[in-house]
Amino acid sequence: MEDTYRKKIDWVNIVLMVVLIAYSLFLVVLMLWGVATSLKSREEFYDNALWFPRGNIGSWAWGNYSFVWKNFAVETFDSLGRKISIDIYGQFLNTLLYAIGGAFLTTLCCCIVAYLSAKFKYWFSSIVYTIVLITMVVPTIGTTPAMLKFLKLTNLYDSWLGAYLMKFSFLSLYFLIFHGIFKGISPEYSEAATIDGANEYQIFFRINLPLVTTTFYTVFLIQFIGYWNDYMTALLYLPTHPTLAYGVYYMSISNMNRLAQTPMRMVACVILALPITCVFVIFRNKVMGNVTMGGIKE
Amino acid sequence: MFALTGKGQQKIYGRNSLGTRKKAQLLFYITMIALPIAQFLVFYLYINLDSFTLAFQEYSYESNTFSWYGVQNFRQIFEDFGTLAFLKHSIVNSLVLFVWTMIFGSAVAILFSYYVFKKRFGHIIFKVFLFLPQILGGVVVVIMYKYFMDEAVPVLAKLLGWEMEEGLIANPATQFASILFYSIYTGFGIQVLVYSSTMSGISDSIIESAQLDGITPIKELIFIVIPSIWETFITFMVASVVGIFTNQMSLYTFFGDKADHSLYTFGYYLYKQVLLAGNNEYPYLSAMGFLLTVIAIPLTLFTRWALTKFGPRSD
Repeated sequence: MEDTYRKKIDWVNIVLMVVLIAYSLFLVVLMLWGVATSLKSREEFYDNALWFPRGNIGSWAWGNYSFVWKNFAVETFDSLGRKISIDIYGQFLNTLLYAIGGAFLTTLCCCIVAYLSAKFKYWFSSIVYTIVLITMVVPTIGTTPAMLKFLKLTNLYDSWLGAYLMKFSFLSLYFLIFHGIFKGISPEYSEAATIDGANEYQIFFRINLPLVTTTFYTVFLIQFIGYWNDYMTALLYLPTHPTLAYGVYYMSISNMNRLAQTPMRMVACVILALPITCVFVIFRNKVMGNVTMGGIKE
Repeated sequence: MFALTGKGQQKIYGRNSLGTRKKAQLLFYITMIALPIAQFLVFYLYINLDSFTLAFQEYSYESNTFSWYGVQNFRQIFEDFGTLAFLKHSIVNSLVLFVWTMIFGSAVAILFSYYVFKKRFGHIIFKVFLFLPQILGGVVVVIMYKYFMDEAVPVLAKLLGWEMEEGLIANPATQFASILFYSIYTGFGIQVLVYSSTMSGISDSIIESAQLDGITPIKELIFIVIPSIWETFITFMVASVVGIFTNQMSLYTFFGDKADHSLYTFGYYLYKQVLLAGNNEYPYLSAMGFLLTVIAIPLTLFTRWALTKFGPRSD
């Protein structure tokens, strides 16, 4: 009977394997092509758009990287209508502020509210849990104009405070993940701490929070990667604080002389992708851990 | 409050200290939850309510205020649906995108997840590759894909003896299909990650006993694996239904605000308009959003209900 299983599985396996190999190969080709293009001069790219740069590695157009690094800037207007230019260092700083700050606040908020909702059996905790479930099932579309109107009215538009306040939300799947984990933590830890004289803040920060550290890091990393690559929020809500992703998008659609050349655009892509790829390689197991709707397996 | 209840709790803390502890817990609860709730009240509840009222208002340049406008915005929208071609395109394209991502995308994602779950040849590396577009991010992958399709593919085609005047993204005839392919191609990562993890929760003994009974892989997938991931599948399906009205198909990243009208989706149209619009267009766009929400809510609830009612059961 197992033979039947193995015989049948072969063709299913083979078909899936072939499709997956084709999928992976296309991605590899795309990435290699992007990197190879970033190392070509404009002239060589027109002459040789498909293959690796000609000549030995030393003769490749490595200067493209230093050129982009020095000249790549986003030009925009501040609230007074003055033209401002944000160079690559500024974009990096904005990216770190946005990705680290935003990811930390989202993760922390979900974690805190999930803890309160899971461990304190007040009627309000049930309401909070229900709110999260409802907002996940019931969609609201087209609220961006109202958000922009509100942010402009309260001077939070185009400010880090406004961006951070928007991120400090518990309406997310991650709330449910934390909730499930806190529910599963035995109350004995907290009881023992109480007997030892710990107050509620100490019980949370010193006892329960360390117990969910792995999940906290995982959620933080997933959010961090998402925010690192997110240019649309910055474009909408932080126009004078362009992130690197915003800058790369800006470069891809603008006509900035030499920077508008395809090899230069590929350089910008590599600069944006390289740090986050390193983060992924280092924390691959955490990011790709067993994420399920019911929780993250520690 | 949660530590111990009744006599046990009294024994440890005493009557007075129990009251003090309850107060301390309440104080902790209030201080910790105050800011998240305030954020929710302002950034979710107020914004949604204001979006609703904005749909019935108009903007006045003279006074820089919004005032009551009745249902004029909605009337305008219905007129525009009859006259503006890009809104008709938005309906068609959004539905085409939904059908492809839902039927084809989900089916393939489940098959890939099954492959990963069964730990077949190269499953770890395939899982990484499927997730890689999410890591590299939409901007990077879109730009590389766009220029590859437009600059490299014509050269490749020429080498194979096939003349291509334009790239696949630049050519209006192949533009939509190429972007649709991109959307499906890059959309597997999260699904495979979640599905394969959910599948790993299936008991080994169930799989083994089914195999002893002579189950084929296809039957195993249909009768054991799919029922086990059905709740997760429903969640993705509900998200796909909402996506009909929000999915941009990465058009803004491909073309900025200059995408051809024939490519429009609702998600792209709303994002682009909000970005370009001034205060005067906010009421119209809010009305559009409200209208789409009114359609989306029953649709998502129906989808959830139907999939729960008629779907397989894990028991």
